[in-house]
Amino acid sequence: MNERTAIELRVAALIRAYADRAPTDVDPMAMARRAAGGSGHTTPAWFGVMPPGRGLVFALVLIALLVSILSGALISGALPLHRDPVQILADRAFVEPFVGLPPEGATPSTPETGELVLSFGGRVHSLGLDFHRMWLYADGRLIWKSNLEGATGVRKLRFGESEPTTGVIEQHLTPEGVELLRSAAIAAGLHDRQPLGPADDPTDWGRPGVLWGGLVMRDGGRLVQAEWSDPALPGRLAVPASWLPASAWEDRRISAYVPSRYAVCVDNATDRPVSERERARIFDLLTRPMKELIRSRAIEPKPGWNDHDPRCTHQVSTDDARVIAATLEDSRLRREPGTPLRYRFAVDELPADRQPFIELLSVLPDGGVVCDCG
Amino acid sequence: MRRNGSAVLLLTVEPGGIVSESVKPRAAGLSLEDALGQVRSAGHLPSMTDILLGDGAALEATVRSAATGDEAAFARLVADHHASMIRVAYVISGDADTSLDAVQSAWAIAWRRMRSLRDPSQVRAWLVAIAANEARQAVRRRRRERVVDISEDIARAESGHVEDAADVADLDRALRGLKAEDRSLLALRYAAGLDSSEIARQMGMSPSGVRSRLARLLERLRDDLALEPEIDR
Repeated sequence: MNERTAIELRVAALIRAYADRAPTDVDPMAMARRAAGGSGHTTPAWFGVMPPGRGLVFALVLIALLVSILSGALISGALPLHRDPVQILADRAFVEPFVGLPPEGATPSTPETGELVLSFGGRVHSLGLDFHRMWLYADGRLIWKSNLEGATGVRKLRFGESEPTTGVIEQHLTPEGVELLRSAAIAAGLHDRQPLGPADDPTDWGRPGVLWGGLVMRDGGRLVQAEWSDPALPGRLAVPASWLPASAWEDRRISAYVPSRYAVCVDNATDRPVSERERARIFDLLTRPMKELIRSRAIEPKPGWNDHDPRCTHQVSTDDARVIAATLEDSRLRREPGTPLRYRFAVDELPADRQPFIELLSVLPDGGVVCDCG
Repeated sequence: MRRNGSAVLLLTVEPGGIVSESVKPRAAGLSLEDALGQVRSAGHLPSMTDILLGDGAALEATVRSAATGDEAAFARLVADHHASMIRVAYVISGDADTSLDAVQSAWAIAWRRMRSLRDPSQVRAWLVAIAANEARQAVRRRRRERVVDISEDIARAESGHVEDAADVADLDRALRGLKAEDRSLLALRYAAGLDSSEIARQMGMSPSGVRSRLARLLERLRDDLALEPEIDR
């Protein structure tokens, strides 16, 4: 047992002893009734605001109000219209949203690199606690991915047993739109700005409007993580099409984000970081040309919001990613159910769901990574 | 990821306390018996082991029923998960009343949002995550409202084994020096027994992000508590 494991066991035992002092007695049925609050669960939450005995009148007034708001919003262009997404856009190729590698011949997003202005991720209270990620670039690209049910106007994709996802989506804002989104974040009372390091995770508990989430913003020449005060901010960042004016959009229609590069990442699902030996054993399963190719594409971690950084140690072109994925598919590694590009190594002494894995992740314009998966 | 099917939860008792291991045989393409055999042959079963077999289909049915307003089904979830939730809330708040309030609030949220839970096998992680968040917010409110008297807690701790009570009292002080967010992470990992991938899945962060943050917290607690490793000799 090494020193860290021994310390961890000691801390774990102390915390469990501490938690033993919690008053755990409960009457389950009484708690269930209290949670239900005496109202029927099958009744939608919003219905509870109706005055007793005036439900129909209240509903009609509410519907009339919603219709007037929606019609006004549509006329002013404040809400998205995704009636005909499958078309060639004027200034960029449309690619149907996908999970996994892009379709052959899909045109990558240009330019290959971009300066990150604002990034947000979190489980948003106002949208049902589903997880949403977005990245805004100085060149106007708005890239996002969502598990929000029905909130985005974009149909959901699945890969096997994966969670439903929109895939990674790209839209384009005007300079005015970029500034409006940036200003919305600043107006939400940003404070406690901290410089963002290469391996920092800016997400945290219970910030306003999210169960778990975080925000990264360019502040002068550097990226900072910041707190905010307004609980409405996460909803505004998650669904900007619901409030940005038409003039903020250079192209509001959605297309898949097609990366130019893929990150090669090795990780595991245990509390022990993957060792260099395990990484080497996984790379050894690849063909010699692939090993040499990957090793020649080593990268240095840099500040950003990277899902697996610093375990994403290499980046390759999309064509090379296709070859690597095909090699892995033919190897004795097992592709994890529900994930298009994650392959698990087989370590005899570990349970199946804790094996180290190798994964290909899309590289974003700022060098961060995102999984094209559910 | 949806995972239907039976789950095996092994609670293994070691000198450092209970270490939980969960195996999902159907997700691994194994029968229940094969999964148990693998775990046994891999030496994961120490001398004292309690094996709880949970039926994934029954759990899913309970969650689905609760989501449609079945109070009896919801009460079964309360019976199964209330203790985990309140232990987590207690580690975060350090106060019995606050943890009770937080978990009561968490159950009300769970009742309203049960339909948004897509993967019933994740119900425990989902519930303790909500309880943790409510506890964290309760701590924030409490800071604004009053000064907490911890003497009762210390006295209760000291009623047990003297050495352990001193350690737990030290831990109490160390936890109060941490941000509520960090206490949440420690509570989910060590009081609720979620692994880094479960915490990551609930929070939408990476398992490696969870691990690196826990590692920093362990370093800090080691210093705050002046812990010396008891390395096997």
